[in-house]
Order: sequence, then C-alpha cells, then structure tokens
Amino acid sequence: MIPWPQRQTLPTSAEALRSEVRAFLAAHPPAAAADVRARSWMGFDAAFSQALGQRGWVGITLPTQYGGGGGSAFDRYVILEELLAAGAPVSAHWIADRQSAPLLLRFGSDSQRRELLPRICAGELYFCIGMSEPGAGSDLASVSTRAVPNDQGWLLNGSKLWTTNADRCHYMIALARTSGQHGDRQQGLSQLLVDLSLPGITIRPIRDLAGDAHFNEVFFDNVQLPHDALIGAEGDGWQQVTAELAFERSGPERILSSMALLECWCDQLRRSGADAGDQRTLGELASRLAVLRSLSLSITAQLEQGQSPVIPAALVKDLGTTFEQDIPDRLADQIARRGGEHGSGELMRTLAYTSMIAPTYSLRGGTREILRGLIARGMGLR
Amino acid sequence: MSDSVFLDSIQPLFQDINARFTGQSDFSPQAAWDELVQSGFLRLLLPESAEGAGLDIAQALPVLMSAGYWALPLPYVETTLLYAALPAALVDAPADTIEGNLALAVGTCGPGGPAQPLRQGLHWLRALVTAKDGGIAVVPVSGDVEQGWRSQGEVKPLSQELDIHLLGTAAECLQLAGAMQRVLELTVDYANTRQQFGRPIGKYQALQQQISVMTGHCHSAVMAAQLLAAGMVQADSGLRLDTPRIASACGVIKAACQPVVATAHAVHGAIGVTEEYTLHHYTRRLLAGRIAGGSESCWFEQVGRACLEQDGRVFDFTLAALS
Ligand SMILES: Cc1cc2nc3c(=O)[nH]c(=O)nc-3n(C[C@H](O)[C@H](O)[C@H](O)COP(=O)(O)OP(=O)(O)OC[C@H]3O[C@@H](n4cnc5c(N)ncnc54)[C@H](O)[C@@H]3O)c2cc1C
Repeated sequence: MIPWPQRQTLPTSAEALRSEVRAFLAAHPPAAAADVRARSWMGFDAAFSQALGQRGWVGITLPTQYGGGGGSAFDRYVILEELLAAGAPVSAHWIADRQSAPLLLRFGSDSQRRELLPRICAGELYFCIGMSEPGAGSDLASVSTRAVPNDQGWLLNGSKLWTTNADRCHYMIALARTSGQHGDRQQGLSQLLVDLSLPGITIRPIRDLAGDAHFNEVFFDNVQLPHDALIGAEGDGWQQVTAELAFERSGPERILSSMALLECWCDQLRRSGADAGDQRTLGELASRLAVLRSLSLSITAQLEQGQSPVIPAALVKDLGTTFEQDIPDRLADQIARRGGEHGSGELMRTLAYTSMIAPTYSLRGGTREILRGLIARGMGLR
Repeated sequence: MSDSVFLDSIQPLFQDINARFTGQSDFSPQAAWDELVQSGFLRLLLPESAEGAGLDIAQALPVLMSAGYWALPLPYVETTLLYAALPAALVDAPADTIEGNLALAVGTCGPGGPAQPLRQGLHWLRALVTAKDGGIAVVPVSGDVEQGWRSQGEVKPLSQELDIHLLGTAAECLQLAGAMQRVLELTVDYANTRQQFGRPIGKYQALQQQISVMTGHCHSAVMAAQLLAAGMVQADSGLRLDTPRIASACGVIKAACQPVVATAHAVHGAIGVTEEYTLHHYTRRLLAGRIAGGSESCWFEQVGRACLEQDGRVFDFTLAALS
C-alpha cells in the first residue's frame, strides 16, 4: 500500500518568499492576455529567465558552491507556484532547473558540474531532454540512437522526437545505446551531453495542434562528441534515467497548467454574475485545487527529508493532470451552457488554447496509463 | 502521549464493536455505547481540567477517522465533536440527565414528532442537537434504528451559537474518509487473493488501472479530512468552524464516495453484494453519508460563492481560505 498522505504546511521561511516573488513579478510582469499566460511553462523568454537567475531563483535547491541558492524544496515550491499562478514564461530555464541540473549534480563529473551548473543557475544555459524516439515512447528501453566509442570520444547517430525546446537551447542530455545490440533493452544504455551547436545535428520544429512549435525532431548524423560527453558511467543510462524520473516532484507544474483559464472565467463571473451551476463548478475546482496542493506539498516534504517518493509522486501527478484537464472540460460546458458562446474574446481564446493543449498534460513526462501502472505497483498489485 | 498511542489504545474496542455489529449476533448498541463512555474517549477533545485528553482536532483525527474505518454504528464522533464545540452546555452534566447520557447527534425535529438525525443508520441515540428559534437546542429522543427516532421530553435551548449543520456534516465526512481507507484496503486485499484464469485478479491491467484511480480518490479524501480538521479551531468557549475550509473538504470527500464504492464492488464481484461479506456495511455508509447534510454540489456551491465574494484570484482564495 502507498502510505497515506500527511498534511504539511509551508515553513514560515518559505512562505516569506511569496511576497518577494510577487514583487519580482510586479517588476517583470507576465503578458496581460490570459491566452498568452496560459502558455506559462511553454513560454520561452530568455530575458525573464536571466532576471530570475540574477535574483537567485533558478537552481534554488542546488548547493551554493555551484551557484545555486542552497534553499529548501519548500522555497522552490513557493517560487514555482507563484510564477506559474501568474503565468510567467518559465520555459527557457525550466528543464535545466527541474531535471538536468539535479541530474548533473548527482551523476555528472566534477568538471561538468563546475562548468555547467553555475550557468544554469544564472538562467543563461538551457537544456532539453532527449529520451523519446520514433520507436521509443513509453517503452524507453527500446531507444535505437547509438553512440559508438572512437579515439576522439563518441560518434552519435540516430534521432530523437518530441524534444521540447531543442531548437532554442544549448544542450541535450540524450539517452543512447553505447554498447550491446538493439534489443538488449536496459543493458548498454548511457546518457550523453550533446552540445547542440555541433556539426551533423539537424533540428526540425514540429508544430502542435494549437499552432505553437515547442517540440522538435532532432537528427544526429555522425556527430562527434568528446570523451567527457558521457554523464555518469557507461552502461548506467537506464538507472540514471530511472533516477531522473524521481525528479518528477509532482509540484505546482502538475496542478496549475489551466489556471489562467480558471482565473479568466472567474473574473468574467464577477463581472456578469454567477448562477448556482457556475458557483458549484468554481467551488469544486477550488476545493480540488486546495486538496491537490496539500498532496503535492506532502511530496515536497518527503523530498526535503531526503526520500525519493516516486510512487506517491506518480499518484499526485495523475490526480493533478486530471484536474488540469477537467478545467477546460468543465468550463467549456459551463460557459456555453445557455446555448451559444457566452464569453469574452479573451476567455474564448484561452478556452480554445487550453482545451487543445490539455491532452498533452497526461502524456508529457510519462503517460497516465504508465503512471497508473506505477501506482498499482505501489499498491502491491504487480 | 503521541497521537498514535491514543489510536492504539482505542482501536481494539472499535474493532470489537465492529465485529459484534457486522457479525449480526448479540450486538447490543447500549452495551457498546457504555463501553465507549467508560473508555473516556468521548472526552478526547476536552482539556485536562475537564478530565479530557486535551487533544486538538488534528491530533485526534486518527481516532475520529478510525471510527469510520471500523464502521461504528454509534454517534461517537458526533458526540465527541459536540462536546468539544459546546463544552459550557454539555460538559459536567449529571449522569442522570440527557446530556449526561451523551449519545448526541446533529439533526432536525419537531415537538413530539419524528426526529431525523443528519446521519442515517445510527443504532444508538439519546438526544439531538438541533437548530431552533434562531439558536440551538438539545432535544431528547427515543426510538431505535428500525422504527426511527422521535423527540420526547423537554427541549433545552442552549445559549451558545454554533453552525450545527456544518458540524454534523463535518463529523460525517471525517468518518467517510476513514471508511474509504478501509474499503481501499479490502479491495486491494481481495484483488491480491482472488484468482481467476490462474492468476490473482489484481494482476490484470484493467483492474490495476481502476484500483489506481480509486487510490487517488481515497488519498484525496484522506488529505481533505486533514484540511477539514484544520478548519476546526479550538477555543475556550468551544469550536470555531471555518466555513469555506470545512465546506470544500466535505465536498471533496463526498465526491469521492460514489466512485470508490463503484470500483470496490466491481473488483469484488458477486461476493461484494452478500450479507456475509463486510463490504456492504461500508457501501451503505458511504452512499448515505454522501447525501447526509447535502451532497457535494451543495457544499461546492457554498465554496464558489465564498470565492466570488472576494476579489482576488481563485489561487489566492485557495491559499488563504481553503488550504
Ligand atoms: C508536449 C510534449 C512534450 C514532450 N517533450 C518531450 C521531451 O522534451 N523529451 C522527450 O524525450 N520526450 C518528450 N515528450 C514525449 C513523451 O515523453 C511521450 O509522448 C510519452 O512518453 C509517450 O510516448 P508516445 O507518445 O510514443 O506514446 P506511446 O508510448 O506510443 O503510447 C500510446 C498509448 O499507449 C499506451 N501504452 C503504452 N505502453 C503501455 C503499457 N505498457 N500499458 C498500457 N498502456 C500503454 C500509452 O499510455 C498511451 O495511451 C513530449 C510529449 C509531449 C506531448
């Protein structure tokens, strides 16, 4: 059985950061239009990331010796939830802050850490995750991109798919086969640091159904990587990727993706009046948000205690992404309940965008079905 | 003493009452109630100066939820919370008075007429606390679970103010959250035990995915119960009830009841609908509890109104009023 959740309130030191983040956001205001703010962690703005880095709020939990903030997981929680609730454009530094930096801290060599982490923390150096391929989605162990050792390091061939921000960032951390055969599954995989400016790399943006291009196809044609591109040990790629999964913290990013829409709708209700059906829907969503946030904070508390709550985090992520998907569903029904559209242009644009992108919430970072498989394992069923 | 010490010391009695009640044989509600009174646990939330254990609601929560976990057919949680909420009126009453005999619940009634506890299926009750003439009053009742309850005897108005409907619903919801913990455990155990096609049924992905969703509902309900507890603040005069916080937690707990029941029964197959197997006690409890005091929609509407009455963001309202 998965242990029952324990409520955890924020320590006052973390709560105190809230007003500082709000002051920062007042000085660096996110876009006014709700349909732009709705893109938040898809919104790429290097100037914003650098300003955040200067304030010390990128890599906040990393050790100060690498330029990090030396803060707690709770500090990070407050900063993130305030940024996301405001719809700030956090995409540029997002992956480096959330995933790549902790990965490098844990598995990287000392020189990788000294060279890369301070620039990540400055909000200047951006990363992407090269896991998925055309033939390897949920079944990640079937990756076929290959890095063959040679006298200069590693020769990389193959391709990656759905790589968020590959066209706009500096490095990819790629999962590739470095020994054995295709079909050896988890054996013989490694993680490699790929400088995306190297010759032989072609990056093709893929447009999504909302018209945005945030993810890409990336092709490697005899890309020569240096020896020290290897992260961790050769052949340990699978264990490292699994550990990377533990950086899935089920934080505010798994709860707040549809908030710009909910806020925009609530503003309209205040202007034009709400009936019992509107009140019920609003009350339900606010109530679920409160419970989810407490569940999410209980995961943060476990991280802060040095645990690795992979399965409880999967549970909260499943609940959170369901909530994020229910918002556009319920609001579409509420807004158009009286027949025809009853919303301002801004509300309808935000609804359209959020509805179209919502299906991705339960795909990115591992699908709903895969998460539920993890939960079932945690419950002792497999 | 830590909270779990209290739970450990009362749980055997709860379990024993459950065994007698679900075993259908020689269950005496009065005897079970007397054992609860003797345990001293009705004073869990009272200060030590009033011979209480001095716990706050958050510390007492494991015990209160455990009453739901063991499907106690007695108003233990109701009485304990009413005691904490109305100490001036209810504590230290002589044992031969209605208050001294305890067994209180929240409900409605007219003089000499049928009395309706908010909670259904109570097997023991001596008085209802009800709304009356703009205030609240204690109304003695008699009857039983089969015939129903009738008010009888002198109505005693209380000078204290309390939103008893909110308190009654909160008491119900804490128990529902505990009941859902038990139902999830029963369901997982059954899925790991029952074999079909040569394997435990829990090995089939279709059931794994349903039980995962059910787990999410149950964890949400358990967290909501903790938020609910945080919405009941003890003061010298009794309990201060934080309406939006309690309303939102009750809504989430009530909304979980139906899907939890549905999956539990789906996994159990036919055995789940037999009188002999214990699941039906929880099914009845969860389905009745969901609507007792108003369904989730009724409580969510209140939360929505409270949110619209202020002018900040939904996010800020959630942080300040519900979390
Ligand atoms: C917006 C977005 C951004 C992304 N960014 C990145 C990125 O930056 N880097 C990166 O590497 N990847 C990225 N991805 C890819 C993402 O990780 C994959 O989409 C995801 O892992 C699923 O793989 P797939 O799309 O190939 O679907 P598939 O794995 O083919 O799954 C299709 C369906 O089959 C189900 N399924 C598969 N296996 C099982 C099983 N064993 N049991 C039950 N059901 C199963 C799935 O749950 C799903 O419903 C991104 C995806 C999106 C949508």
